[in-house]
Amino acid sequence: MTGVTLAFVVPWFGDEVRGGAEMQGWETARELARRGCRVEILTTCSRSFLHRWDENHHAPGVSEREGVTVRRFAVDRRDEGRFAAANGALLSGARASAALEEDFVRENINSRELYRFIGENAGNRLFVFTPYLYGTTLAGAAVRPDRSLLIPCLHDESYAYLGVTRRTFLGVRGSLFFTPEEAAVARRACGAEPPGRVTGGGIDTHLRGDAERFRRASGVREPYLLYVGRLDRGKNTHVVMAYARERARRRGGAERLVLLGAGPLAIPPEEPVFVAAGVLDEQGKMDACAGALALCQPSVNESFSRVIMESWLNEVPVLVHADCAVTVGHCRRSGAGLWFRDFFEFSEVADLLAGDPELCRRLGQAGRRYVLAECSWDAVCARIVRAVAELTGERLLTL
Amino acid sequence: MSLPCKDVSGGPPVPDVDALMRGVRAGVADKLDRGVCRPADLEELRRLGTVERRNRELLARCDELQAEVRGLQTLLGREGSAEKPA
Repeated sequence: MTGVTLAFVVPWFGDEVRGGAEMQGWETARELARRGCRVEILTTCSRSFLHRWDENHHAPGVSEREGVTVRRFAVDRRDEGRFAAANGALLSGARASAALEEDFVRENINSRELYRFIGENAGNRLFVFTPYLYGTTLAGAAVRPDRSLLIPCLHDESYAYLGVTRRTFLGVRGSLFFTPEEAAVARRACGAEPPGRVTGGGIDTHLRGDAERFRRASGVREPYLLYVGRLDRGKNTHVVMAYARERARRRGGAERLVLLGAGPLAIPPEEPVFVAAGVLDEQGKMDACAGALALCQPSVNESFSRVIMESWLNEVPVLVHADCAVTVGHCRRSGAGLWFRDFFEFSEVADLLAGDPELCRRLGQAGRRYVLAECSWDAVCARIVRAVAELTGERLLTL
Repeated sequence: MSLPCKDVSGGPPVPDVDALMRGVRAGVADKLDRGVCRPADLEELRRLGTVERRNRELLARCDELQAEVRGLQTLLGREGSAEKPA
C-alpha cells in the first residue's frame, strides 16, 4: 500500500534555525521518515527568524537532508513597517480589527511560490504547518485546508485570539497538540472545539548526561539550580535570576544558578551566585542537567518544553512557574516537578529539594519514566500515524 | 519525610506533587505567621528587580553610545587628516 506524503511547512529551515518549534518540526519529520513514512520539508529561502524575512538567502529548489527532501521557495516582498505596526498593536493588546489582521498576515513571511506548489500538489500530500503564527501557516493553510494539519505550538498569547487564527484552527483537518493544556488553549481561543489529537512531543531518549564532566568543564563544585534557554524577559529569565539572588542574599550558602543559553539579558559577572555557561552542544547541556539540583523553567509561554524532558531524562526534578498550565500539567502527570507562584514558594521548594536528596531521586526517577513513556519517538510517531488516519482517513505508512 | 505517592493504573506509584505543594504552601504560611517572611518583601523584590534591570539596560546603552562615539571620532579623524594639506 502506498502512503500519502506528509509535507511539513516551516517558515525557516537550516543549520542556523534553532527555535524550539522549528527543531521539533524537523525532528518529527525526520523520525517519521526513519519509520517508513513519506515525508518532505517545504520552506522558504529566508535565512532565519533573526534575518530579513523578504531576502532570499538560500537558493530556491530541491535538496536533501538525512534522506528527507527539502523544497525551498522564494519569499515575497513585504512592508516591514506595516508589519511592525500591526504586530506592535496586537502585542499591546489592541482590538484586532480586520485591517490590522490583514496587515499582520500579508506583511508576515510569505511565499506565493510555496502557496502555488501547495495548490497544485495536494492530491497525494497532506500539509503539516508549524508553528501557527507565521504567514506560511496562516496564508498557506488557507490554500487547501481540506489537505492541511497543524502542529501549532500554541501559547496563551494575543496571536492565539486573532480571527485568522480561529479560522485556521477550525478550517484545517486537525491539529496535533503537544499537551492537553495546549489543546485547551485552542478551545478557549476558538470558542469552539477545533478538530485535533494530543500526540505529544518527542526527544532523543538515548542521550544521558555526565555530571562530573560538567563540573570539571565549568569549575562549579557547589549545588546548583539550572536554567536552559534564551536569556530573555519573555522567558522570565529575570525572575529566576532575581529569586536566586535573593536566596543568596538571605541564606549566604544557597545554591548557585547556572544559566545555559544566550540572549538579550545580561548576566552580571560580579555576582558569584550566577554562572554564565553560554551555549553548549547537546551533550554539554545533558551533562549540565545531570548534575543539577533541579532545572528551573520559569517561562509561562510554553507549549511543550524540551528542556524539562531533557532534565527528567537525567532523573533531575524540575521547578516551573505556577502560571504555565502546560509545564504544571507535565509536573502533575509525571509526579516529577513542583511549581512556584512567588519568591517564597520558589525558596521553600528549593529548601525542600536541597534538604532531601531521596526526594530529588524519587521525583527524578518519576520524570524519567514519564519521558520514556510519553516522549520517545516510537511513541510519538505511533500517535501521529494514528491521529492522521483518524483526522483525515489517510494512511502514512507505506508498509 | 515520607514521600506522598498516588497509584497510577498499571505503573509504579507516582509522587503526589499536589500533596508536596500543599506542604510547601503550609511552610510559607508558617514563615509568614512567624514573621520570617513578610509580604512586603515580595514588593521589595519586584522593585529591586526593576531597578537593577533598568540599571543594567542603561549601562549597556551607555556602552553602545560610547562605541558609537568612538566610531564617529575615528571617522572624523580620518576625514580631518584627509582635508589637511600634505
